[in-house]
Amino acid sequence: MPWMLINNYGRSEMQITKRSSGRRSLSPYLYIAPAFFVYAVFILIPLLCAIVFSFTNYNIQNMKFTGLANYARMLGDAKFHQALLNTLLYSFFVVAVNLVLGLLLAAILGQRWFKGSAFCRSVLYIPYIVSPIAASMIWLYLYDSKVGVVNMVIKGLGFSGKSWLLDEKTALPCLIVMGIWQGVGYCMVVYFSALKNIPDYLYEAARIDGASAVTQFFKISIPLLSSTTFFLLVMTMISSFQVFAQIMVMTGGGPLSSTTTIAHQIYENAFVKYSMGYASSQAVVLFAIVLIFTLIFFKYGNKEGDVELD
Amino acid sequence: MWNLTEKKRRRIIKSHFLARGLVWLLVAGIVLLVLGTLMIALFTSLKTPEETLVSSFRILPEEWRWENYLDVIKGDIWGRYFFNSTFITVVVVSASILISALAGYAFARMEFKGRQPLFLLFLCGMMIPSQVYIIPQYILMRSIPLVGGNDLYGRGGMGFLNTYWGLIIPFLAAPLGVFLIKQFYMGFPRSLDEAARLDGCNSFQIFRYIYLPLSKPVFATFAILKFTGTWNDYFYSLIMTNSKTMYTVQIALQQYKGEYGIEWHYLMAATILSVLPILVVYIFAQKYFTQGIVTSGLK
Repeated sequence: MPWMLINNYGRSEMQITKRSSGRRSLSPYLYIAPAFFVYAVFILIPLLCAIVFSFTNYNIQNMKFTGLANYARMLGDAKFHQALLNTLLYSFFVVAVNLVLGLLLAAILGQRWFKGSAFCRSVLYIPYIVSPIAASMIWLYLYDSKVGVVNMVIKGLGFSGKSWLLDEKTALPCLIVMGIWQGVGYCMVVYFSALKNIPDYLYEAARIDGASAVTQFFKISIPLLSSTTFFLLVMTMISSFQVFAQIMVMTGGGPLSSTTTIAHQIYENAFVKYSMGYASSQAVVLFAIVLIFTLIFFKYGNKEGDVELD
Repeated sequence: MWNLTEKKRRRIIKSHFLARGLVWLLVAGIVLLVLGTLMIALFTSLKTPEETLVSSFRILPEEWRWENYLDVIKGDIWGRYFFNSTFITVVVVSASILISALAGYAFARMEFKGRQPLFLLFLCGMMIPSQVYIIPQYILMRSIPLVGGNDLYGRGGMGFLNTYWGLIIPFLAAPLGVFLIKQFYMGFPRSLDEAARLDGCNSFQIFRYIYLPLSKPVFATFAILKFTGTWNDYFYSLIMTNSKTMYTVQIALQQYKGEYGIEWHYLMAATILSVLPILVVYIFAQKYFTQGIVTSGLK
């Protein structure tokens, strides 16, 4: 760096300002250009194309404009309704449990008396960084009807085991349990650092007023965490709406499409049956759902976001 | 509190400790469950085939068969899969850092028309599920002109499907990186720029010689996020590859399950192998793992 400064010493300040103001018009766009190019070409334009495709019967070879036919077909597609329901159920339970459990764990692990907090946090976070495919393999083994640990434990307690993933009633709950296992560490870590950001004097004041730890948690921590909660709601919801790898590996959408999801339906329609127009309309529905939920949370989050400190 | 008799006080303290003990046990139980799932996978990968099939369960293997790992590696072209994943991840991480740093710098430090709307447009990218745009993305990759047997109009061949290009380029779009780096640069004092400008630096020199050398923390944070995201990606790679030589580790692992019927000791060994790079980085750079998700969360 120093040599460069020396090189420029000879110039007058006038020259320099002239040069930099002359460049101001174009150069910011040059900095953004690479990032924007990739983003526009590989995400934004495909997004717009997906919306266009959704009004056609595109199937790799032909493309004909069919108006709202795909959307009409979706209204009568029982499998898609099932996928929609499964996705909403899965997301609801995974998001709700992970937020509540994540917050509780964060609050407990943040206590000064809790021994081994750092170790516990490190362990809880591991499932979140393990790939969905690897996690699916592990849970496939745990849930296995013959050699799986879940059945071993249940048999050990005197009950009879089950083929968890082959039963219509238990397959989706099994995936939900796995989803909680995967995501709770993430919520815990985000809440943990948000709790650390709440100033200590608030708790001290409450303690002097005689508030118990539980009261402090409900009256101070929870209200002040509302923007974090809102952020986590949006992020965990978006990722749970996309649940796919687990389905592919563990159930293949079955039994009797009891675990198929929107993402899985999009994949099947587009890349197994090659009816890409129809799959695009499902993708648009997925997009619309995510958008609507995000907007709702934004509205709600903003309302709750400015909690007064006193 | 201070008026209580000695006896009552002792009882309160006692119940207090009891409650803490219970809470501690509960949390420790949850942590143990999570650790247990991971340990079961590890120990199963070291068992003999007979041992994985008996119906009385033991956590630890009777004899530790490290050969399982060798068998897995020799049984398929795992070297190739690991090379594919590593190569893609390294290129994606380094290139997307560079690209995002340039954009983040412009958003943080330059005035230009459309700055705010453009930045918002980037932010939206973090919200859109990849399944929404995967179909046109696939068509786009297939129709890149003049590569993979395509003619000038992008017809006839496979384009970028089954190539490193196809598995790398779309990952370079990193709205999260632009966001993280912009936030980080906003924290730099303006006087830094002004001093450098007085000394005759142009905006690129300021970026190159002042901002870049100070960016290590944010680069590390973002690199970790991008690394796990790319290494763990399944959906995109599944759609863009169909030849074995281009499989990433994730696709290979998924295929491995079906190929031989389920042999749990081998499947768990392959699973552990696929997770190993992430775990090793996690052990050494844990700080950056959590920092990334926290800074992106707290704005």
